[in-house]
Amino acid sequence: MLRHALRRLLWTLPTLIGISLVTFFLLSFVPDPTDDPAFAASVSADALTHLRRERFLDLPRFVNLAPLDVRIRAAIAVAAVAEGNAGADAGRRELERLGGAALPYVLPRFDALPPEQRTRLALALAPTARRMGLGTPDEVSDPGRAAAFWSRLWDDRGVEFRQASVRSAVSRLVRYGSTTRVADLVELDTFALDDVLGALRVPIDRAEIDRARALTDVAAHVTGRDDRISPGDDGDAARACVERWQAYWAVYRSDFVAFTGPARVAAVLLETRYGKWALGAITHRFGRRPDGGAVLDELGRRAPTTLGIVFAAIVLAYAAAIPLGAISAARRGHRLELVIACVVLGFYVVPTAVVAVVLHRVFGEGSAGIFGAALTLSFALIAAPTGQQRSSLAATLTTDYVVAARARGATMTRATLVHGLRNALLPVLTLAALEAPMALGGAFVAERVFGLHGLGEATIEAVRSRDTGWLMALSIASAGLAAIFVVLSDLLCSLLDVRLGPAMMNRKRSA
Amino acid sequence: MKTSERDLFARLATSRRVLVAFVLLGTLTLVGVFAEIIASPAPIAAFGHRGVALFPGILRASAYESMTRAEIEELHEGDTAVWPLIRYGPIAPTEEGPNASISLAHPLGTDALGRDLAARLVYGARTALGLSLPAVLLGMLLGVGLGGLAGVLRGFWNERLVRLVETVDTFPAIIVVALVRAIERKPSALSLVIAVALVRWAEVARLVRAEVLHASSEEYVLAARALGAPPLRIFRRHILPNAVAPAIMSSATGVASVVLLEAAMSFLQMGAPSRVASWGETLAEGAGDPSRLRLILLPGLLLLITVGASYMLADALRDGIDPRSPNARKRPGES
Repeated sequence: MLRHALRRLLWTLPTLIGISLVTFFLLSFVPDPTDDPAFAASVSADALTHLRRERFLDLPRFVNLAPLDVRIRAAIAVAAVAEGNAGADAGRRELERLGGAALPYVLPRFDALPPEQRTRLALALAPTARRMGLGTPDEVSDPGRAAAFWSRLWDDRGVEFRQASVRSAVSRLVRYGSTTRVADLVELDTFALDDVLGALRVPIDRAEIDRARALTDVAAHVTGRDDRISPGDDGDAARACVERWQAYWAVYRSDFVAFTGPARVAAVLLETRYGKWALGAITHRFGRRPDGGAVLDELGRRAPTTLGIVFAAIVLAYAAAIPLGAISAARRGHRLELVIACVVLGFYVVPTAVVAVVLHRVFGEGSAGIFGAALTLSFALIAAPTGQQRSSLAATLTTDYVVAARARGATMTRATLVHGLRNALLPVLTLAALEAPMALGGAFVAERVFGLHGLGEATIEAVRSRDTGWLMALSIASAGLAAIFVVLSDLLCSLLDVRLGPAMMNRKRSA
Repeated sequence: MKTSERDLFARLATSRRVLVAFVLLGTLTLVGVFAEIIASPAPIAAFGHRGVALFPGILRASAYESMTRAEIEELHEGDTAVWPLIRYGPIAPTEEGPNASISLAHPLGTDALGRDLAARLVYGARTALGLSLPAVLLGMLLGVGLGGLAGVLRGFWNERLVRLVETVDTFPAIIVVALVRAIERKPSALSLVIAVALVRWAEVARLVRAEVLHASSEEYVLAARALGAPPLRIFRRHILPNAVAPAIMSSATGVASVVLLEAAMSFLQMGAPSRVASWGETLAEGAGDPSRLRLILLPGLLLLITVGASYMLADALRDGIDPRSPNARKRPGES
């Protein structure tokens, strides 16, 4: 039986991935702030492109059959510069931004170009040379000598543009940290960025802060993104800076890295909006909230309140429903049954908001408010188990063993409690495990009235501010929780009724 | 099958619960459908110097909505006009101002924003029923289709469908609605209908699948198969009729839960604020200011009637359909 439950639990993983895909697809239609024409008009086109890129809106949703990497970007920029037409300016800027990372894809093709295109391209690379600290200013910006400079450079130092040499340079910098090591990396320019930022860890102690400072200095120099850790910064400032760099890298990595071999296959899935979200979810606890905290932490902080209300309400409701159902089954046809049915139905149909407002006056807020909220919620939950208990007990009471017990002289009470209830309880308890997700809506209402800081408050705020990260996390968490409850309820059934155990194993997964 | 069906309807027709439920739900539906005749700033019909104007409140609703009371009076001065019971719409604030008490012009007073409460409750009936009926019907169609499929299919696809039904069935409806609310720029009733139908179908599908599995092993199905009936015909003639009853029953309960869900959504004010009248929204107003008991009690009562009536209908249906149900009447010939 346990094996069966474990297998079911494993099966929830693909289910959760499916849920995340569907939810993500739905949420990809959430209007982004950058879609707003008023906002788009208020910033420059360049800034808007950057903003949209940082929100991954330039990527497709699930599959990216043509992921852009440094190779493709460099080829586009080179073509623009070589043509020398209207796009040349943008191409030059792009080449400057791509920097050293583009050189392995630009310089080998140098000799194949006609002389005047080669000159144009060499001049466009001048800013990169300056940043790398190579060549004299005359050399790189003189139309007569620039092309020769770059050809010579690639012959001499092309061998250094390799993953292995970058990695050892970075590890030397991390281990010894000196200006000459920095110069080594600066000469490789953005080509080293993947390893530099890959080596960047969120610092904990002083030594790690110094290491992070050396790495961010290199990154700031080659990207022109002036975000550094100054020597006087404390741990928090350093950590914030490192996290900013990591966020930057999550967005712009594809500008400086070539996707080759397996990386290219992975990029088909990872260079998508879903891929970026999933990576962030795995590495950063379901991503960041607008206030900087992790979504998972916030979920963990708020869930106990809401789940506490829900479970307390279920316990309260079942504590009332089981006796009520038993009484109405035992007193079938009496007036009492009708009264119970009417009262229970009344509880079900009174809107939770009304009950909440009334009980709020009685209990007020604070810890009594939590009880009040649970009580509020329990009203709506009584009806289903009472009905279930009534019909299941009524069916049990007509079985032969109960009739036999009565014939042997057992009182009605004893027959109901000892022989009937035990067997009738099973379907009712099965229901209990599935009640929690249904009660969530009511819990949100109760939370709002009683002023509790649970999931409901955060969800309403997330809907208002269109915070997709929170909604994704909530959707996956509730689906996961529901799946666990389904498995638990199956397990409970087989424990309570041994006859069901083998049957469940045999029917495999046809729940 | 046929006789038992007739039997069922005969029993339902004579049931007092069914009668009461139909009268209550029918009245509310009529109120919702003919809301403009009950509460509108425009006359129902006007005969006068401009000829005959029939239902100007429906045909030129936006024109009337932007006019003040005095302008409307002036427009129809000298006309023989039939005015609605309540001469206010649900959206425009009235001159009385907020929280006016009960008067002849405002039979139930006004709400916190100065809108006529009676008009808002009347139009709220339209929102509640107009939302729940399509949502439940859509859910039922989806549920019968997919549940039937899950009952008939074998192997891989059966398992996938069962897993899907189980997942959707246990997924909190409020989260689906929150997702949909986050997507839309302007809240609309249609999106809520779709959101609710997206969750509701699973419950119907679960019930239908169980019935289909049960019916498939019955002797009459075997007999039909032995006679050479094609599978589709067996499904339509012999299996589906058994499955429809629980689907209808679950849908009747569904009306209640959708109305309650809509009330909860309006109460929580999730998403962009909506101008549409809804009982839940009035409840939320009342909850914000507990001294205005009217704002809680009246919509609460209406919700109670709607939900209670549909629940009663479902209960009566179950007793009529399910012979094992505790309240089922003994059929003639049974001991």
